[in-house]
Amino acid sequence: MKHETLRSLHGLLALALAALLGLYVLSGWMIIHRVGGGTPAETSVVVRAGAIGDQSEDPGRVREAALAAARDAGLGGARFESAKFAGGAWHVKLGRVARSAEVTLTPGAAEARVALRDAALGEGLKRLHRVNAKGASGARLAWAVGVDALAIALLVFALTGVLLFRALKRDRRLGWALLGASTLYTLGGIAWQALGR
Amino acid sequence: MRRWLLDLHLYLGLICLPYVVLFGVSSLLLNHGLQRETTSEWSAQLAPLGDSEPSAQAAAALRALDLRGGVLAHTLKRGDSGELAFRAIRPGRSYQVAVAANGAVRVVERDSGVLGVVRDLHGASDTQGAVWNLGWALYTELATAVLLFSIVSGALLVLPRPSGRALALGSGVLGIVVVGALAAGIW
Repeated sequence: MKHETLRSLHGLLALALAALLGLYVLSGWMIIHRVGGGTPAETSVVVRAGAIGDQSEDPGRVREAALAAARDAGLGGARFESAKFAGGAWHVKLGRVARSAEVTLTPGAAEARVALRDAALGEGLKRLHRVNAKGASGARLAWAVGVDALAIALLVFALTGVLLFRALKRDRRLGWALLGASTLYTLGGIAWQALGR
Repeated sequence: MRRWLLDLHLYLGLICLPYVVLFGVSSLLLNHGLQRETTSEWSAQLAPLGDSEPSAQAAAALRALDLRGGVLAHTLKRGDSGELAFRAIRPGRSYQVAVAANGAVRVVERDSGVLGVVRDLHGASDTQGAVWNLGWALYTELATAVLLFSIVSGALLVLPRPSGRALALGSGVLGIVVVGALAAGIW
C-alpha cells in the first residue's frame, strides 16, 4: 500500500472516530478511578394507565402497560429491566442509559405512578461506556455497531501505525526496541495470567 | 515543532501499540459477551482455621493452596460453626473457596482461558500486590494519556496540510455529529 494511502486511512479513520474514542477514553478513566458518581435527580408523576390485574396477570401485558406509562411520563424508548408483584402492586423497572423509571401499577387502578431518576452526567457517561450489543435494538444496536467499528479501527490504527513508522523512519532501532519491549511485557503478562493456578 | 510532534506521536504510539491491540480485541469480546468458561471442582486439606481476621485467613488459605488472585472483600463470609467462604479473582480465572473449621477446603475454579485474560485486562486496575499487575495499572494510565494525546496530535499533524483538509475536517465533524446523535438516542 502506498504511503499516502496509508496516511489517509490512518488519519481519516482516526478523525472520524476521534469523538467516540475520546468519549470512551474519558469514561474509562472515570470508571477506573471511580469518579463522576453523583446522586440521581428524582421526580414522580402520575399518568393514565390501562387496568392491570394482580399477580396472575400476563407479564407481557404488565410490561406493555408500564412502557406506555413511562412513555407518557416522558421516558420513551426505555428498555424493560424487571417486574415484580409486591405490596399489592406491580413494580416495573425500565431504563435508558442515564434515565430510569420505576412504574407502580395498582391492579384495577386507572392511573400509574412513575418515579423517574436522572443520573448525573458523570454516572451517565460511565453507563454509556458499558452499553453492549447483547439484546440491543434500535439506537442501542447502532451504538453497539459504532463500538465494534471503534474496536476494529484500533486494530487498523496499530497496523497502519507500524507501517507508517517503517515508511517515515530510516533509523528504526529505537522504535523496534520500544515496540518489542511493550509487546514482550504484554504477551508475557497474558501468559503469566493464563498459565498456572 | 511538526517533526517533534510526529516523533512523539510515533514513539508513544509504538509503546502503547500492544495495549491498543488488546483493547480492540477485548472491546469486541465485551461488546458481544463472548465468553468460554470451564468449571472444575477440587478439594484440599489445610491446617484448622484459627481466630485471626477473615481477610487474613482468606489470604493465608490462597497462599497455602498456591492460588494467585485477589480476595473480593464483599464475598467474605464467616459461618456460625467457624467456616469461611470467599471469592478470589484474577484476569481469566475465579475461585469460590469454602474452608471448614477443621481446614477441609472445597474450591470451585472457573477458567476462561487466554481470551478471558484479554477480556479481564480491559481496564483492570487492581494491582493485587504483584509487580506485573502494578505495571499494568501504570501502563493503563500511560495508554489513556497517549490515546488522548494521539487524537490531538494526529489532528494537528493532519489539519495543517492543505490537501485533504476539507475531508479531514468533514470526517471529524461527521464523527462528532453521529456520536452525539446516537448518544442522545440512548441517553
